[in-house]
Amino acid sequence: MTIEKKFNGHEKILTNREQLDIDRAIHFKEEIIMEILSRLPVQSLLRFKCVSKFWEALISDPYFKMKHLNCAKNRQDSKKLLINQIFPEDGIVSIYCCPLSSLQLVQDVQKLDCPLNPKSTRFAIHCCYDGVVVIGVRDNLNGYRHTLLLWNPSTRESIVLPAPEFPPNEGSHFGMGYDSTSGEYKILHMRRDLRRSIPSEILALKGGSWRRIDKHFRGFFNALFAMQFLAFVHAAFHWVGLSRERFANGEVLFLCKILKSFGRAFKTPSGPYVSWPQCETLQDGYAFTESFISPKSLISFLWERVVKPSNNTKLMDVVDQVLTQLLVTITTVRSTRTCKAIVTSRIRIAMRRTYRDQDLVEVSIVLRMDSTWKIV
Amino acid sequence: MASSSSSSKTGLKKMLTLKSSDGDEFELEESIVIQCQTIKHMVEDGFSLIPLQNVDTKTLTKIIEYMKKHAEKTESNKEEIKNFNKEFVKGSFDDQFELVSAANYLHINGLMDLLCQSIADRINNKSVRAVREIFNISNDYTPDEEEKVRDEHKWAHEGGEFDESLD
Repeated sequence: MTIEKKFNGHEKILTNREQLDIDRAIHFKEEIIMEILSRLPVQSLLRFKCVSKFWEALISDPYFKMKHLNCAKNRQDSKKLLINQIFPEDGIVSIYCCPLSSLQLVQDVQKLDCPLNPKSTRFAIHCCYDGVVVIGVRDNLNGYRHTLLLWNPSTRESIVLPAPEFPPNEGSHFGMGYDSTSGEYKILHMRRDLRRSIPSEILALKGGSWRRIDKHFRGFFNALFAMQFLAFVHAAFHWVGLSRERFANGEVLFLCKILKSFGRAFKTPSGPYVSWPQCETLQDGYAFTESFISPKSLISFLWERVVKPSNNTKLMDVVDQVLTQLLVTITTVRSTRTCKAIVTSRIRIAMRRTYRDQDLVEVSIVLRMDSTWKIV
Repeated sequence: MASSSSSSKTGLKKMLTLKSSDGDEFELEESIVIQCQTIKHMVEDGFSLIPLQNVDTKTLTKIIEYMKKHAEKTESNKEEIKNFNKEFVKGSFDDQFELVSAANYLHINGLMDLLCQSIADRINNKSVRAVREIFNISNDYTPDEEEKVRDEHKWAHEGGEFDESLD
């Protein structure tokens, strides 16, 4: 009786709700289909564009692409490893892509065609972000002209980027990230430089030209050992630098002390990283999350990002994220300057260095998107 | 006037009644049902009998089964829940679509995620034709148009046989 009354008393509200439901039902199916499709790999989605015009429009929609990327970031099976390798038989460099999952590591390796002419060129993978990869193609026939490309290996789309002022060389390192204040992707180019003579430069994709960054750290070196690209975490590029000095006022992200028997250990606020199992099998791999982001779209227009990075993340989270990004730097021992990057379970990387009687301190140095230098 | 927002803090477990579109009623503890955002909001508005016009008895029974199991979730029975989820997503596409529509309408996020991922995994390897059948979509492309869309990403259609089956 009471229930009945209550129910009747709210009858009007209920009908309003019903009306809402009917209104919602019109958009309902689209919403569900979008939820399902955003959990599919890029290749399947490209295939499913043929299902109907509606599916084609939905899959091509920028909002869907961002939703898909956010979903992919949470799914292990959308993490891929990109490897470039010279094939001994013909000397041609090829790019391979395989899932970054322990179950499938050996199977399902896919050979990708390099954009531009694959036969006459040599190329290097420079960095990856949001499923988009910066690669450098060197054309031997054409006076070693170096072309930078922005390439999405999942959709196989690419565009040519403006040439940097300082031609990339062996010591070049790149990083790519998204600047939420200006709403665009940016690429940073640095060269390994112990004499601090070459400026770094940054390319804002919408702006379309490289800008020189002349400022240098005092007392730090861009050593860039044991890493291939600059990790981008919390709106900043991170890399490992060297210093003969102690820290300035900034917080210390990685503090390393020389341990007599081990040389150097990586230390974080929560304690030292102990020994890690060594990985000798992989070299020069780049991990990325596959995405739908079209390189062209980054230059012509930009949609609003769905997710914003949170500001109040703990230092350890940052450390973990930087390490996760650096993990792609899977290098083996190089020459006598013992520089080891040791990887465990594709989650973390720690570095152990030995320097003969030098009291060097390792820190992580960041370059914020507004191009001011800062020590974290 | 004073009916709402004073629901908790009684020692007794508060019960709610869900009514399916077929008119069947299910009495459940409030703590189980509030996993569902839509119902939670109705409870906050003071409802204790909740009519669900969009959900039939068969689907509602399944959804209640899910909510009951997931209300028991603790640190120690993760494996059990995982197995439950695995069993839960077995069944025909039509059943899954009924469930996913209901989960979407009721705003049960965990269930929505589970079902969408399972449907996505099941159609991942299907042929375009099979997907049309499964989703009951009529092909509105002319043969020329379809060929054009296919040619844009020809490579995505290569590399092995795609599954033509509808289950």
